[in-house]
Amino acid sequence: MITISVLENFSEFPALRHCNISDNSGEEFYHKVLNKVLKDAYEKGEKLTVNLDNTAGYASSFLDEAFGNLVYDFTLDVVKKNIEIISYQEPHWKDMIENQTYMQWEKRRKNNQNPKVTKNHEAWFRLENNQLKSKIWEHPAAV
Amino acid sequence: MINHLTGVSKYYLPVKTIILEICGNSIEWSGTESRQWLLGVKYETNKVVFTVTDVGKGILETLYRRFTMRFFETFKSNDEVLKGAFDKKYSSTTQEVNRNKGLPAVKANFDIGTINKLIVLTNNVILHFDNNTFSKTFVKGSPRFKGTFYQWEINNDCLNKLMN
Repeated sequence: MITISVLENFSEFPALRHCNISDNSGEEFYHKVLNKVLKDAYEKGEKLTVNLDNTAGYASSFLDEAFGNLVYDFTLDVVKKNIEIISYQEPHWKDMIENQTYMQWEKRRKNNQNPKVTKNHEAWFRLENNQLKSKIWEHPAAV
Repeated sequence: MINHLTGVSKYYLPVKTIILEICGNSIEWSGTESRQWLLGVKYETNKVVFTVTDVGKGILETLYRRFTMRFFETFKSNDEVLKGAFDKKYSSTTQEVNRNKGLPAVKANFDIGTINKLIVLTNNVILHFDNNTFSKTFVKGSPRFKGTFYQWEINNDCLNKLMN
């Protein structure tokens, strides 16, 4: 089992949804941390545990963007099977992610409503026809 | 803040959530100059009072631009429409089904008691979440608040709600 925590692997001060409106955004957490660790866990056939506790607190949008992108790139089925969320301090976040974010982003995925990125990211992993592929899937919209 | 109420320094997670949700709305949707917003904290005996203010468009003005409303919603008073936004009644015209969790997250903290006396003033509406009889839409011709003002209080009962 692979275990990460937002505090240890990202920041004590997670902030808002996108990189263009805040530092330590959900978009940044996804692209710097979450996408790679789920890819590793998926390849090894291991479960990934993500611990949300002991930060200074969350915005719903940070968690929605980070975990929603996982569903978009890996599918709801893979995410549900491979990820365990720990949120003892604020259990309502685990509830929101598992009962709202996952389903809403699966709907986005099926409707091909691409995730929005607000800065250029390195290549990241996505499942296509059950094959993991790495590339830059999205670019920031031209302003 | 917890140190003021209990003598022990630690994070009070609901405050961080509420401030993030409000400032996120301010800088993403309200169109404030230079994305500015203002936080006020007043330490009183046995309680702490918070205010957050922005001078953007205001929630209602933003709602009417962003959201699709069913025809009958247009006959509702503005305070009813604003309450609906906190209850996640409107879907986004951006078609991003995962959005609109911020205002409900603020209200959820009031509902579970981790904050008290939540007041929201925006455009021509004031909502008192703890006593709806004081909530109202201002009569036509009254001064309006161009922006959004939030106020809430935290006392030891709120801290106990979080611990329980």
